[in-house]
Amino acid sequence: MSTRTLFFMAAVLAAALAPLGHAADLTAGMQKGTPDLKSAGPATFAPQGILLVGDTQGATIFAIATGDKPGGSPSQPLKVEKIDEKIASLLGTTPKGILINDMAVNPETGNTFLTVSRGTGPDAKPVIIRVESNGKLGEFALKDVLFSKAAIPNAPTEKGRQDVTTDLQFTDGQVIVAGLSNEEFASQLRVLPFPFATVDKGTSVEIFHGAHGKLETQAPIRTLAVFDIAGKPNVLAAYTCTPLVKFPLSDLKPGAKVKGTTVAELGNRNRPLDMIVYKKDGKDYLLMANSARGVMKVNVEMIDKTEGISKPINGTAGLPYDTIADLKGVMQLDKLDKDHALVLVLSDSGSLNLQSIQLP
Amino acid sequence: MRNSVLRFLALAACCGCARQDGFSAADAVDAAGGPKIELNAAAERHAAFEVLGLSKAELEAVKQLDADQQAAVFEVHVADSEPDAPAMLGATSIVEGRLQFTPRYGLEPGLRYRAVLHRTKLPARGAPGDDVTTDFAIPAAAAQSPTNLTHIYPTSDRLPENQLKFYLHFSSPMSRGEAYRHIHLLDAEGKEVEAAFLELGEELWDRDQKRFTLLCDPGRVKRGLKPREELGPVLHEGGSYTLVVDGQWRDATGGELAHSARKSFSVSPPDETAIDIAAWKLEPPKAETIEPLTVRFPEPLDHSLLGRVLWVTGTAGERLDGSIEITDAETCWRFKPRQAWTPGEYQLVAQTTLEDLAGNAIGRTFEVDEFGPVQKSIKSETISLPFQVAPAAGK
Repeated sequence: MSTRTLFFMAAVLAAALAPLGHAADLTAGMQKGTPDLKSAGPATFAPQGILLVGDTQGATIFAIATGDKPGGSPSQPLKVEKIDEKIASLLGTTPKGILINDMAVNPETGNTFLTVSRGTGPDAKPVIIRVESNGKLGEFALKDVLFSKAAIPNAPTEKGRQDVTTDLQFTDGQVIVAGLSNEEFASQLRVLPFPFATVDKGTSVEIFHGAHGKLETQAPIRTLAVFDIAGKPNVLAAYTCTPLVKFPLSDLKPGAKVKGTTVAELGNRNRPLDMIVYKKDGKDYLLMANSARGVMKVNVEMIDKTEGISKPINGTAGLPYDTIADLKGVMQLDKLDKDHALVLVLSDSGSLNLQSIQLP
Repeated sequence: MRNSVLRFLALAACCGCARQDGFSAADAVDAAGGPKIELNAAAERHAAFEVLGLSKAELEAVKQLDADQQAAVFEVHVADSEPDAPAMLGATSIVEGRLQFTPRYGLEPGLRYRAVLHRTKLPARGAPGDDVTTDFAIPAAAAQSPTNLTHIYPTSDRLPENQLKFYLHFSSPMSRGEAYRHIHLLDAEGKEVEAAFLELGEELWDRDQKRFTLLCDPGRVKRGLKPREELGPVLHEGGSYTLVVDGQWRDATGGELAHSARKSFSVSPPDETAIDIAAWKLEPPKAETIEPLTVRFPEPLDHSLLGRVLWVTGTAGERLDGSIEITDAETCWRFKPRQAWTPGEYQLVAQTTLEDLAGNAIGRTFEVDEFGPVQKSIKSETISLPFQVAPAAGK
């Protein structure tokens, strides 16, 4: 799940600067052992093969050095049919006995990491499954690995209240965590410095979005991406109530209240699920999976000139978009390489397929 | 010391010929005089599959293999999985002359597992022995009393048009991943209201998975957004609706609910005002008693938040220990202290995150006037109402 524009830019920059010196070792300060995940939810990659995993049950974000090496050719088409059945077999159960929570591609290897629950009750076991680019499945064992962790700031301690992590993104030196409470209706956006520090515990930010000029709500964010606009990193966030907003990354300061600019609005039944940004033929696009329209390709070329939606508009509002008709049932989405994305698709038969697609 | 061995009803297949005669694996293999596979239920971590009766030469050959090759010699699958499904994760080892496979995760009650010894994959001097296949049926879990949906909040049968949340309480932990398939909102004609709820893959549960939070689609509750413009609000003022939870929803053990549940309600005008604590009525208790402090609200408030974000502090500012009771369709909150009240001033403290049924909080409506002053930082999160406990009569 996730956008890695900044990450790629950082990688390009790092490559350009390589002769001048080595990039900082992001595993420095990590401990070796067994990360005590209580659940494995949203996941994304930081550089150097570090997998970031949101643990809702433990109210913690884990950073795990995977030491992931390429398996197979990253450029070959990938298709693993009935991946839910295959994972269930590995775990000694049936597809009903597992949940695939999220998917993250390691951009340095093309291998895919799936966060899975073995079981569906409160005592379900967290599992991380690694799918090599040749389709081979195996468990990424959480044993004797380098890892660090950070408690989610201001996380609930009560048994009843729980903040569900809905997405997380890495950007230079920061992990942005979006969440949703099971009690208050409010945005729960947290920013954690990375590598995880022991002194700076991170910060909570309240995000509002305006709707048609007059009213605003502290609405929860479903999925987000980090994207460069006019040379400055911005956060693109899709709300549970469908507006897509942008705000500068630099606005995420401790205790801040941030108001995003609405740049697009999706219609009914378009629950945003996942999104990535990418470049094609010199233009920037956003690819968003949503509950009704399949996958939407949003042209974000004019995003820096978009004033923001401040009045009710009939029909499509904001940035122009196309619906990719032949991509239906996409549950998870991540960028595989500069020309391909990886999707987890719910087939008509009810099983899940993992496959690579050409970026539209 | 040999661990006890549980003999499950097993179907054995030797020489590739599956037997369906109900013989136990041990009986079948003993008759053939070759190795047999058993399930050792008392192994160190999980139940382990074990091959007994391998020759010394075969065991020695296994020892020469690397971990992947050992795993390929003795595999266990879920019996009814696809032919190309991978074998179960686990560890292969040789323990006291037995080849042992310990699954990484526990065996699941009610499932059948197929253990296969591939003797043909063992390097052997002479002709390799035949492969041995044995199925094991793990007994289903003992039947338990079915889980009930015990409460649906709010309990009022009249809800505002912009009703935001429902809480569903269950008697036992539930299964995650299927909630929205089992929840329906019907209008007065019994027709399902489409796209009524916000469906989140993560699902909003408490830690025990005994309380589920159901959000009405905020894109249709909040004014001015496209989902509401296109489909209208979820609820219409003056209408009657029924929330239906069907009985097929599975609990954490896989069992269905004891029965379906319904909550019928009519719809009042939208509530677009913030909670005003000045309108709360406090009924102070008597000193020297553990009578409850009673607080009455002019409107129902969020049941879960009432249990968490409202409390009482004592004369020295300390938070008092006690129990909370929420009654009268969430319009009444009572606090009974563990220790008797002493005369003096107390504070009823509320976090400003307390919400009413429409998500309006203390001093802030669900939808805020954008032209109002923008609060740039998160300020004090609590607000207090003082009350006096008078000395007992005659003191």
